[in-house]
Amino acid sequence: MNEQKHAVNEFLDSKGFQSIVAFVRVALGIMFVYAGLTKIVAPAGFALAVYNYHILPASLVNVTAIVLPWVEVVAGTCLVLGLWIPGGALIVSGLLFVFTVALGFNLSRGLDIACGCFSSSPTAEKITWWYLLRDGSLLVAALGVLVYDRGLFALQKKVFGSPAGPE
Amino acid sequence: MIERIRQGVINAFWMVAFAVIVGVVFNMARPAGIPFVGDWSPKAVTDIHAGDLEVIHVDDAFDLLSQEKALFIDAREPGAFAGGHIPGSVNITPGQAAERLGEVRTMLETGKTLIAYCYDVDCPLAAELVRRLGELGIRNIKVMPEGWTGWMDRGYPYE
Repeated sequence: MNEQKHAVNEFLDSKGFQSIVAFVRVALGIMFVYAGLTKIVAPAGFALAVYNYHILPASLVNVTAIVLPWVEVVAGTCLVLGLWIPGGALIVSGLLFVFTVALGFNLSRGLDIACGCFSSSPTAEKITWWYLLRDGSLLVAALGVLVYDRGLFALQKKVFGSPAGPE
Repeated sequence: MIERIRQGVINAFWMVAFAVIVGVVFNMARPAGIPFVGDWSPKAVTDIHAGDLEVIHVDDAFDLLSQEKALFIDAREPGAFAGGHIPGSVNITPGQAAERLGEVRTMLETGKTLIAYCYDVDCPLAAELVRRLGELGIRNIKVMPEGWTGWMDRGYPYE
């Protein structure tokens, strides 16, 4: 049993597996930076997309539209650069969880609205079950980074001399 | 593992705090900034979708229909249209604006008021359709912001 556990740990720490995790981390990061920037460019349009989800009280719609894209950009940048990886991965996982729940909720009540995922336009990108699958898969990937990333190709050690998280 | 998540929570707290500050400051500084608390009343939402267009209230639209002075264009998806629509309405989605231009012209030639609608106040499709038709040279189509939901709420006839 112990031998098996040892073999699993060896695999998880192997350069091959860690390269895949690092690749997923950087890809997720780029995606979140991009998603955040498309919303920052058009704050009024994104506020409308948030409003259309009909989940938040009207008074919180604009604040969410102002802050959320920056959370995406900050967390995404950290994942790309490999800084504070556990924090970035946790935020991205949390956001993806919230997005998945919001999408699923509105799909199940048949709301015909724009996704507001990678664009602020109210007429493009209607939500579909495909988006739910996409968000769910990304959530699994983000949790994978949270749990398994050991900081390969990360700046943390070079910049701060300390690992991004407990090794 | 637990230690890693604990570390993540602490990191995440500071990252979110940083993002909040940047977001708020950036929003205050930029010309395209939006108010921190927005106006999301039906009137404000209508202005967002159709502020540049001519709108007609659902009750006025019903009056015109009663006098046989109105024709309706349903801008929703075909499936929604098939499930019920305002009597005599034609289903044209924003994406079909160009290909069905001829039909719209014929409708205009009847001299009746053309009224576009979609689901409800929050739906942008009717305004989008009218805007596209406007770009193709067809004006004088009104938008009924209350849409299908507003129509049904009032118990007006449908088919």
